[in-house]
Amino acid sequence: MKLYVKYDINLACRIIVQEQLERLGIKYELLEFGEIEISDSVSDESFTELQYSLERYGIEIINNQKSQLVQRIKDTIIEMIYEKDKLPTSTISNYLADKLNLSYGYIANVFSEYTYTSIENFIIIQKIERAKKLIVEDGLTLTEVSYKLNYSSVAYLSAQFKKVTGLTPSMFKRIVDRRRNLNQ
Amino acid sequence: MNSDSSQMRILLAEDDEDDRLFFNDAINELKMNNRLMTFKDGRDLMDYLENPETTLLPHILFLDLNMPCKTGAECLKEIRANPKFKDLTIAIYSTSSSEKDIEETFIGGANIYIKKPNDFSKLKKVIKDVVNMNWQYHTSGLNKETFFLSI
Amino acid sequence: MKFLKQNKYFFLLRIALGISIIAIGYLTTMFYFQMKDLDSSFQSIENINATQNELDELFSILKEDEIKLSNLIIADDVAISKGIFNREEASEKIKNLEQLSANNRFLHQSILKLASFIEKKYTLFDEIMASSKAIPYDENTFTEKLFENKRFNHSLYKFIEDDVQPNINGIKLHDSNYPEKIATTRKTVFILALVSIVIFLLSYSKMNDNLLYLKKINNDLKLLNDTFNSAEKIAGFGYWKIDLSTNAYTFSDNLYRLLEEDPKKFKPNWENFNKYIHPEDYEYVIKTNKESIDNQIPTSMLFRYILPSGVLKYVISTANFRTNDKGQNIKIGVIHDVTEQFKKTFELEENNKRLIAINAELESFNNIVSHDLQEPLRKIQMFISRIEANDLSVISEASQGYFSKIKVSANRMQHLMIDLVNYSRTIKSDKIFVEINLNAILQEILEELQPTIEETKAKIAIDELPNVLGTKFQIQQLFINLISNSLKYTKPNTTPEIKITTDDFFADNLEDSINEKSDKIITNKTYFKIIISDNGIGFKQEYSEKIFQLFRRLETEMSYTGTGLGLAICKKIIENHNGFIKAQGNPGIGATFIIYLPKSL
Repeated sequence: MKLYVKYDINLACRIIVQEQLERLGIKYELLEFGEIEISDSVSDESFTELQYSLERYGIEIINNQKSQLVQRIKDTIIEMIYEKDKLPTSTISNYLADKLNLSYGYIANVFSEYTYTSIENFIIIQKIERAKKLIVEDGLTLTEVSYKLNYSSVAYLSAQFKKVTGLTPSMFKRIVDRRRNLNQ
Repeated sequence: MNSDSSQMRILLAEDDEDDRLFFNDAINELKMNNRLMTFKDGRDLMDYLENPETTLLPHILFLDLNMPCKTGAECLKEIRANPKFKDLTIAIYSTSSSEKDIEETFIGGANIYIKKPNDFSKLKKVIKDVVNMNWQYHTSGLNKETFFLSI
Repeated sequence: MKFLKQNKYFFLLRIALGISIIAIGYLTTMFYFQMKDLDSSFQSIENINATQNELDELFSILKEDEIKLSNLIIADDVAISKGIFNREEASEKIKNLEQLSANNRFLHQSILKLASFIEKKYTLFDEIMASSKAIPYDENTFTEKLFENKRFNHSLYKFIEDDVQPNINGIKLHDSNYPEKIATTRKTVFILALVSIVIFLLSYSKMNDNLLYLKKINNDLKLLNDTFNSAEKIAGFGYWKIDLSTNAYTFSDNLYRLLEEDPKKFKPNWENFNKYIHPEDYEYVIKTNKESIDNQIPTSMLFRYILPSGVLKYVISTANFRTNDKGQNIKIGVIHDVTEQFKKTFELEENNKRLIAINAELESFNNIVSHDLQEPLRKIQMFISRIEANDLSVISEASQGYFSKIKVSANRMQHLMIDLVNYSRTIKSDKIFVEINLNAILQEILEELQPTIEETKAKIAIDELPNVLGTKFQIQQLFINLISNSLKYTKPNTTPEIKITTDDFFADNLEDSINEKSDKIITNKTYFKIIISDNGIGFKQEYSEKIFQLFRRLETEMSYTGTGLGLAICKKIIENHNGFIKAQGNPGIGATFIIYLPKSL
């Protein structure tokens, strides 16, 4: 005999994922199919178990080691920019390769694959983010900021600021100030 | 079944049909993992955003300033007045390039100001840059309070 | 002030006149008394002379009678003795003397004594006569009687000498200062005449002066009146006056003329006058006027008249109160015909409204250019770019050429529209000037232009610049245009160098040549001088004026694109700031732009 079934693959997958998450006692929230918000931190064992049990159904957790690596790269860069008084004197590529014990080519590839941007660009964005913070929160002048972030000149900082934000630092500051006045 | 947690939800409110077409084509050609919804005026947009069934908020909203029924500026004001949308990135999409307009919309709560490009490849680049930058803010925990991009 | 002085003067004149009258009165009285005194002196002198005369005559009678007595005794002629003595005459003299001496008590007593003496004398005469004729004749008696007569004569003369004559002489002596009195009187008369003449002359001269002065004042007044009348006519105002105690009105001639009536055509009163007021304004005028009179406050009204010819007249009526020299409260007013001014103001207002409307149109034109016109153009460019990207290879080579030209034209049109908007923004500029820190502005501009600066690797050196007064976005635009210009017109294979300096010493001759077109004096006290120089392709000095003209581009290679509006915008901005801009060019070496901005508004 032949049996014909009409199945909802979406629903099936959803139920499988839900079952497995509940079995492992992980608190979760299904946002949309394919996106799960995990509320608590998950132990490596639980994570591996989840990964394994889902793989049986042909469901792959994308948040794999590569994306974890991306997170580590990001953390390293942010630490480099924020927590050390001076940025490394050696090239960033060497610094990252040493720190993560991986070849820079591999690191750069994984990074752009997952973030849609290059490490260099990410660094610039982070530096400008810090510059914004220094301007807005610490009230530093551009000269002070450019020194603190190891820029060769104020003009270079201005140029990079403009490139990333489309605004001059002075216009940026004016907008932030006016927005604050408006909210007060 | 091609579901992806990195899918970008993009909204566009634009009354000009050609501009909607350009935008749609550009996004398609960029082959990004995204989902674009377009609205032909501000009221349509607000109806969608304020509908309780809309649980999945967009990552980024492209807002034309000059629209019938409800202008982009009015939408901007309403969206920023609602805490529900506090993480929504708003990109103003306008013909004007006057510094005054740019400054005013930023002060009014916009994150991105796009002067409509006059070149299709430029448009693609602009959308790519904007989406990318927004993605960085979304994924790298950057301060949205000081997220300004004029392009 | 003058009036006060005049008053004081009249007061002094009055005092002088009073003093003069008192002086003349005094002198006249003195003269009268002196004359009276003189008259009595004269009479008493005449009297005393007559007395002396009578007395002398009396003595001659007595002497004659004495002689007669002697003769009778000797002749013994008794017969003739009867009535021979002039006894009657002597009595008469005595009587005369008594009369003459009636005014002098002492003399009169002396005369009365003398009368008794004379009586006794004649009694003696009789007794002598009787004793000489006595029968019997007694010699002794007779001699005794003669002796007695002799003694009596002696005492009689002694009496006269001691009593009568001194009294007469006393009177004589008393009146002997008569010539002195005459002299005093003469002096008095002379002084009186002199004083009178002086006073008269003074008065005359003063009166003459006053008369001349009055005449002059009268002439002046007449002239002033004439002037006032013609001024009234020329300036188109009329004058009225009302005495509030009598309600009597006075209208000036031109007030009638203002109402298109002949002067004095109607009786000047409130009712006749009010007939001309525009019905819509009537109530207002009446009310205001009543309040003014009730509260004694000045009025100033603008209202309309309708003249008999139907012409509408706008007038300003101002009036105030004052008190005249009689202490009466009067209200004086001026009615000023402002129809022409009103019409002009009205026209000005209309023009102003039109200007505002034109400005609004310009504004909307701006919006049209900056938005509505750019929209379709942007779409054209958008479609151009899409065809270019996808299908350019499938059309013919010629069409590819046309297509490229379409693209260039569209791009050029876009730049033109942007510059046009910028230019029209400078035309419409509202002149709200604030102090601008040029250093800060230039810093922002450099940030703004950073991509181009990096691209061209230009070196830009900026001096410490002053704070200037201006509109910020315009000053910004000015320097953006000038620096962009320098960044655009660079020499190939040369690092562009741009210097922005300020110069406090106006040593060169440039200031004079700038001054030709303006009556302003340019000094380093009144103007800032800012110089922007580059090492670009420069231009021929003969073009130094033309480059500021609208849409004027110098013949440069096609590789330099521009709309020809940039420098025109600069010039316009500088003009908006009451400054000057000057260009110096040197082909192949560079260009220098010199800006003069006023230090104060």
